[in-house]
Amino acid sequence: MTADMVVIVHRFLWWADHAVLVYFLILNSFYALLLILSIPELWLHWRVADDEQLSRLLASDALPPLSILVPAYNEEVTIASSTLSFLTLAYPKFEVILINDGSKDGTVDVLMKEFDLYEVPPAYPRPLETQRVKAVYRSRKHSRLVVLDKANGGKADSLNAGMNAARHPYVVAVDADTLIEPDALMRLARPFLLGTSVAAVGGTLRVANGCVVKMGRVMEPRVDFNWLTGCQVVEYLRAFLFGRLGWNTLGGSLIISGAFGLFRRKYLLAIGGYKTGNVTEDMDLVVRLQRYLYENGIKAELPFIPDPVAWTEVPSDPKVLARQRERWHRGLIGTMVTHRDLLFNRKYGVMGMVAIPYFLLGEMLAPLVELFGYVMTVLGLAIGAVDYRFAMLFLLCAVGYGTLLSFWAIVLEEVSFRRYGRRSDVAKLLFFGLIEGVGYRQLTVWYRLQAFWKYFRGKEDWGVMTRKGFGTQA
Amino acid sequence: MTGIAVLAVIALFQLAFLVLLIVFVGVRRQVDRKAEAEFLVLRQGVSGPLGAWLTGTGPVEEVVATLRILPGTSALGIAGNLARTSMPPAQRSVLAAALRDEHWARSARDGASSRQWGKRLQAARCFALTGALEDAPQLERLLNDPRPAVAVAAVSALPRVANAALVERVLDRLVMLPVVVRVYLQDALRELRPMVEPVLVKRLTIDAPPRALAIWIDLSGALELASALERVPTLAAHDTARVRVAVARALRRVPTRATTEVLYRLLADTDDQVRAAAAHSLGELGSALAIPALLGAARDPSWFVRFRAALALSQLGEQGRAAVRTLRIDDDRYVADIASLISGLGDGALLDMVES
Repeated sequence: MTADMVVIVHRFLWWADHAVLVYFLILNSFYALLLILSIPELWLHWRVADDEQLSRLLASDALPPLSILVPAYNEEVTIASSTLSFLTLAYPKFEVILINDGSKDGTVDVLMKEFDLYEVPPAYPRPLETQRVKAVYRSRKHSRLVVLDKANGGKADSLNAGMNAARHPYVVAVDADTLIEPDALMRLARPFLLGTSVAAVGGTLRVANGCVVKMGRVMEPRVDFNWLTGCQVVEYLRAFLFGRLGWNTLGGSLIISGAFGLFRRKYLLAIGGYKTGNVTEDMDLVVRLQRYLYENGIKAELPFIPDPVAWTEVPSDPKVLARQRERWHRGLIGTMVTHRDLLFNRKYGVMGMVAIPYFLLGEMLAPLVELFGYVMTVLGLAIGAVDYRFAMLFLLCAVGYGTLLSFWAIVLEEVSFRRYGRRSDVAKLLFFGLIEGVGYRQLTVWYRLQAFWKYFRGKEDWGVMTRKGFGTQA
Repeated sequence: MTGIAVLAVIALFQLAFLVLLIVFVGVRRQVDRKAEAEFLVLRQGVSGPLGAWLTGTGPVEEVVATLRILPGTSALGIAGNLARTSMPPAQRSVLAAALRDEHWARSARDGASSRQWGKRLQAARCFALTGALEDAPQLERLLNDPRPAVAVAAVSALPRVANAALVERVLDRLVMLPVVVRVYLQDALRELRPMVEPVLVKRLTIDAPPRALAIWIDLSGALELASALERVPTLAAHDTARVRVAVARALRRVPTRATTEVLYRLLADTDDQVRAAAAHSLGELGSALAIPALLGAARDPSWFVRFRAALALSQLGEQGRAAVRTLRIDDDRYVADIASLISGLGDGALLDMVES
């Protein structure tokens, strides 16, 4: 290699490393901003959640009736207890619409037996196109239960079928294996008392692995000692407690979890419901909903409320985690590509100028930039263009910053809702917060990188999500 | 300073901050547990004098004295809970008078014009507990608060504080209030029926603003105000469908032949929401004489009217249910489907659907 070439390579590596440094500085500053914005929001919600009198108001008939939509596919083992747990939620007026998405196992048979179902004609308008609904059942034991048995069409298609059958003005989309806390719906309805117009409301998802679960309810929240699920507990705390709360103040929330979110039915019908074929139907739905609200000048909020909690089982096996994260990231890429015209588009306010750029540059591209950073650093170290002490310290600071954010989320949890009662669980949270930055983070970056490959190859599958179920929990 | 030195300083700061957060988490638990235990002792201290006063064996001054040593918000919370227990109005007034000049009560009421909604909420609650007629202007502001939670809390104070002029203004602003506040207001106005009735009667005219008129008609029905309901049938031919829907809804409380005649007319209305509301009301009135009219409505072109008519028929005893069963073999598939759906429902599901 000539001397000129060496200089050029050195200069390139120097610039590349510094570009990565600047990228992470900007991104981390944005995280810090979200963190600062989340504090007053958390304070507000914590105070309200703690207010006995407001809780009593929330139990009243003044709240709008809800339809809970539960898509189910091959859930024969858990469907009876999870349906019962939905039917016994505390809320003044609601119905549960369980949609059997062409299960190959005995999901419908179990429901028929447990809930004494009888067939009724599908006598309701169907504004959304879905796969054929083969039969509609009601229960002789629980008047609030409706079961739709339909041909397989995926989760989005099932939710659309449920939305057609819903009688109430608000729908709550939940996964069949999500464990909703008994008062979570009432907490989710809090914006009706705090604000005026609501298009959707998001609640918090927490990790159920390791918790004591009985009859479809989390009886005692605990932190699993498995490192993979333990790191996800911290990750979920961080994402929900300050990530989404921070977006409340900015006003451009783009994610309401598909496993637990409340939506105004008329807006979902107006945008054509869930889009089938999208592997992360929840994000796509929220972007289209925000878009619809902007385009029609509708001033309706999409707040996130931290204390209505639903518990979900997260992957404890690296292979399953890989499939999940790859799918999530593929969905993010798909949504960003579909809605690319929103990027820096002033017409769409905060969504166009802040949220979409953040999700594109800060979330979608982050694994690529991180990989680029690692490769450049290793190359730089190899040819002596980068000082190894500088590289090590930089890595230490980057990991340290991530750990600080995780610890901050744990502190927010401790000073507010404090779900984990045992000291040993808090110690575990701190431990997983400490180790998450080394190993787990790089693993998820690798999984997310695979999404780019699959996306550009045109893969549209969900991948098999194996769950252990709650029967085996502590 | 070199880049390495800068990074080293940042790393040290991060380490210090991490240690600080760990210490904070540990200490915070200890402190909170201690504070909770202390508060529990204080709170329990109130229950003795409170029980004695409620059963007439102790003076109210002792309750006031024990509340005084609690933090302001806790005192208000406990007193607020107490006020909601069923006690004679005279005893409630004694409590209100005894608490009105307490420091925490005055300070809570001072928050009525605060910029923080939490303080306005506390003020509204305090008015519900200790409010007097002279608080009407402040209460009115709170009733119009942009936060529904504050307005709902203020609504509970209305029976204590309201005068005729305030009731009139509240009714005029009803249309601008969020639904959740209106629902609570309806309950509070029940206690003020003598003041509400003449105001509503004056407003139930054909030239009143349609949106407000519909809400006033609904309120007349919900409060079962006889003289207001007498005027409602005169509004059945109103130009606005929303008003006609409200008329149909309100008339379900008035079981007279004249009412039923109006509902039959509304069953043939051009708007399907009006027809559905009329069918619903005929079901609620429970007269089997409405069966032929409802059988006609069960063949309505609108899905919602057919559904409501079949539900109404099922509310009319065995004769009505038999009528629904005859519809199951109707030539029109859509009519037959609705009839099969309704006639197959259990009592619980039927009640659920009728109420929604």
